[in-house]
Amino acid sequence: MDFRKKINGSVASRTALVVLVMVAVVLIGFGFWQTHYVRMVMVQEVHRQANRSMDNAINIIEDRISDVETALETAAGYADVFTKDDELCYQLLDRLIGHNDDISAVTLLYRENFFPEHGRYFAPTVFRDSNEGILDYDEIGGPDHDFCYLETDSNWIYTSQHLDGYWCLPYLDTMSTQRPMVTYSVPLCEPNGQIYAVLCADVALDWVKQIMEEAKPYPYSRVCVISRDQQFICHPDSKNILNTNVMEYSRRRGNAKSVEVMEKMLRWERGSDTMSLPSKASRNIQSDVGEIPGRQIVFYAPVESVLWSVSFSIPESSIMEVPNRLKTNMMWLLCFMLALLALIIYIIIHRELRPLKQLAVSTHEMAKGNFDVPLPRISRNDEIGNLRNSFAEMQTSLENYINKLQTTTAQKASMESELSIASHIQASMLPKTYPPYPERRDIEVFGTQTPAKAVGGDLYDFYIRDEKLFICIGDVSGKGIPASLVMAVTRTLFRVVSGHEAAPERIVAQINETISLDNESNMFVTLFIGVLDLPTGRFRYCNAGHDAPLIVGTDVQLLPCESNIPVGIVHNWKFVAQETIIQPQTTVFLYTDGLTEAENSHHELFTEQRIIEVARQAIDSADIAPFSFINRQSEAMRAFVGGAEQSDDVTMLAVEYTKQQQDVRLLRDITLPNDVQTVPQLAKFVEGVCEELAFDPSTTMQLNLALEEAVVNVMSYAYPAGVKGTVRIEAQANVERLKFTITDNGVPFDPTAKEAVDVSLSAEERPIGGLGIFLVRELMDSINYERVSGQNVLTLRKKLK
Amino acid sequence: MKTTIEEKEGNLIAIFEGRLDTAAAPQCEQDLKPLADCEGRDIILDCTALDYISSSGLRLFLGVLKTAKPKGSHVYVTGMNADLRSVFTMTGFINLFEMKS
Repeated sequence: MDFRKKINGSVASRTALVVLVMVAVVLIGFGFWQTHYVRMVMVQEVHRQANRSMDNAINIIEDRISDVETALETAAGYADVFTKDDELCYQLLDRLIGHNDDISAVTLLYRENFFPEHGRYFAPTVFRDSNEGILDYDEIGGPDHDFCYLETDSNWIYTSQHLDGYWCLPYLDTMSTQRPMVTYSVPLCEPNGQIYAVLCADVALDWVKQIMEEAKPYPYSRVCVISRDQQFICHPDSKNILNTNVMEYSRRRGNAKSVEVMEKMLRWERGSDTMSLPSKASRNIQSDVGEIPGRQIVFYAPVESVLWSVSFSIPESSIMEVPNRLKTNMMWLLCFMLALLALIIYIIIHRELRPLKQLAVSTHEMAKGNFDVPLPRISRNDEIGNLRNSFAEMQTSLENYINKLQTTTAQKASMESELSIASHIQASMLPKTYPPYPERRDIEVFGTQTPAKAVGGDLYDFYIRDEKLFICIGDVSGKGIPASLVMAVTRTLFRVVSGHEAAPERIVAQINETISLDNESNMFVTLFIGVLDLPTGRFRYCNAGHDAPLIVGTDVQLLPCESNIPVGIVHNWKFVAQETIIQPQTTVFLYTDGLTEAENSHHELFTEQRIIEVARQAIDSADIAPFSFINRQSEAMRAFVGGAEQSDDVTMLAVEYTKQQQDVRLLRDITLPNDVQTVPQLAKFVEGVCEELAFDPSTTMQLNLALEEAVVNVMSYAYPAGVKGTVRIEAQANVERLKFTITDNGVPFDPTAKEAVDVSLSAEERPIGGLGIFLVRELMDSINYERVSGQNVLTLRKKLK
Repeated sequence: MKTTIEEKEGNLIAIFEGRLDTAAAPQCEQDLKPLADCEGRDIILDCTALDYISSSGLRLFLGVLKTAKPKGSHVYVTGMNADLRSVFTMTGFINLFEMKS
C-alpha cells in the first residue's frame, strides 16, 4: 500500500519503474536468446570434439591391433625356419615379444605328437613378467603336456575353421595375471597346406582403457568399450569389465534409451544420442560410481577390425556448466545494472522535477488565498520554466480578479442588504397579525404571500371600517423592485381612498386615475376590491382584470365577475361594480395567478380546476376556516410543483363570514322630522335608553353627543333644502352592544365617506365644520353606512362592558 | 339655554348655562355677537354652568376665537366639567384655547 502510494505519488519513481521493467523485459529476452545460442554452439562444439576424440581413439586402437597382426603374420611367413626345431622355436617367440611391447605373451601350439619327446601336445610360451619386465619361458598344456588347446572349442584360441589370423573374444586371464586379455592367433601351415601349429600372441587390454582415458574429449566424459560378445572391455567401474553383459547392464539401469543405444552399438553403428539418467535418489536403480545424473549425450563408433564398439557419454550438465555459470553471472550483472539504472533515472527525474515540487508548495499557499507568496526562481528556459512563468501570470491575474471580485461582492452584499430592507418594508405593508379580529365572531380572515424574488409585485390588504370589511388583492405586472414600488403605491392608495369611500368601483376608479396618470413605464395592476357589509352579508366588489375569487360554502363556485380592465392602463375608465349576498358560514377565497400558474417540472400548470378540487375536499372535511383552507391550498400546490423553482409571487386571502344572531334586550324607536330643532326630543330618547341600560352620566352624555351629531348630519344633508322628510332612529341592545340605526328616505348620502378632520391643526387653519362625524367615530365603537332599498341606513354601535 | 355677556375688569365674559346643542346654537350665535367688538380686550368663556356642547357649539367657540385672535385678544375658557373637557380633548380644541381655572 505504501509502495503503491509512493509509485503513484512520484513521477520519478513511476518513470524509473516503467523504464526498469521495459529494460528488464528486453534484456531478459535477449538473455534467453543468447543462452539458447550459446547452448547450441556448445552442443555443436561438443559433437565436433567428441567425434574428433572418437576418431583419434579408434585410430590408435586400430594401429596397435594392426601392429600385433602384422608382427604375427610376418612371423608366420618365415616361421617354418624356426618351428621345426624345439629349441629354435623359442628364438622366434623371443623376437616376437621383444619387438612388440603390446604383446604380453607369445605361444606356439603344436599339433599332436609334433615333438614326441616333448609330450603329446608341445606348447612353448614366452611371457613378460609383469613385475620385472623381463621375459620368462615356459611350456603350457599341463605337466604331462596332454592338454590339446587346438581341439578345444574355446574362445581363446584358433580353431580349425580359421585359415587366417583370428582375434579371439576378450577374456580375463584367470590363470595368471587376472587382467583382461585378447589373443591373436595365426595358423602355421605345411607346404601342402596342412596346419601343423598355431602362433598366438596374448595382448593385455590395459592400454585400451588408457588410450580411451587419454582420448576422451572432456575430463568428465565417461568412456566405455564393448566387445562383440556383449562384454565390457573398458568401463569406468572396473568390476564390470568382462564380468557383465552389457544388455543386462542397460536393462538394469531401467532406461529404454540406454538399451536402444546399446543395441545400436552392438550393430556396430556410428552416431550420437541423448538420453536421461535418473538421479540415484529418484528410484532404486543401479548406477555407477561417479556417474552424473541428468541428460547425457552419448557418442559411439565401432572398432571394425576387432568388432568392438567405443562410446563416450558426456553429461549435459557438465557441458553446460560454463554457460550456466555465465548465465548466472549475467543475471547478477543484469540485476545490478537495472538497480543502478533505476537509481540514476530516479535521481535525474527527481532533480529535474524539484522545481515543480516547489511550485506545488507555492500554489498550495496561493490556494489558501495568500497571493503574495513568492514563486520559486527557475532560470531554465524549458517546459518547467514556461510553466513557472504561466503560474506567475496566473498569480497576477488571479490577484486582480480576486480584488475585483471582492469589490463586486461588497457591492452585491450592500445591494442585497438594501433588497432585504425593501423586502422587510414590503412585508410590513401586508397584514401580519393573525387572527386580526380576535374579538369578532362574525368574521375570520387569513392571508399569505410568498414572493418569487426578494420583493414581490403581489399585494393584499384588508381592514374593517364602519362595520365593513374592505379587502383587496392585486398583482402588479412584472416582478422585483419595480413591481414592488407599484405594489406599495397601490396598497397605499387603497388605504387612502377606501378611508373615505365605501363603493368599490369608485375606489378602483380613483386608484386607476392616480396610477394611469403619467404611467410612463406602462406598469399595470390587476386588482380585486371587495367591501363586505358585516351586519348584512352584502358583498359589493369591483374586479379590475383579476382572477375571480371562489365562494366556498355548501358548494364551490366562482364569483361572477366583470373583468373590466386592469388598473393603470386607460385613464377615466368606467369601472363596474357587482353585488352579491354572502351567506353565513361561507368563505371567500382570493388569490393571484401565481397559484393557478404554479408550474411543476413538466411545465404543467396548477390551474383553477385543481384549486376548486382542493376547495371541494375542504368542504368534504367540513373545514373551510381561512387558515386551514389556505394551508390546504399551499400544500396541494407544493405537492404539485415538487422541486421546481417558484416562478411567480403566490398570494392567497381567505375570508370566512359567520353572521352572529343575538338576543335583543332592548328595542325602541323614534321618528323625527328633518328639523334640527327636534334635537332635544332626540336627547330625551337617548337619555331614556341610557337610563334603562343604567349608563353613567358621562356615557349618557357621549351617546347623546354622537346621536345628535349623526342625526343632525342626516337632517342637514339627506334632504335638499326645503324638502320635508323624516328620520327614524332605532335603538337595539343585546348583552354585548347597543346599536342605533338611523334611517331616512332622502337622497343617497354616506356620511362615512367624509375625510377625517385633522384635530392637530391651529385655529387659523381649521375649517368650520367636519367635526360632527369625527366625534361620532370617536365616541362610538363603529359606524356603518348602507343604502338599502332607497333608504340611507346608518348604524352606530357601542360595546357594552 | 341661556347666554349672558358681561364686562368685568376690562374683560368680556360670556356665561353659558344649560345645553348648547344644535337646536340652541342659532340663538347662542346671536347672543355672542357683541364679542366681535372686543377691541383687544380678553374674552373669557365661562362654562361653569354649561352641561353639554355639540359640534354646533364648538363651531361657535371656534368662530369667537377666529374673530378675536387677529385683534390681539386672548380667549380663555373656564369652569369646564370633566365631560366637556373630554370633548375638548377629543377634538383638539383644548390646544386652541387658553384654559383658566
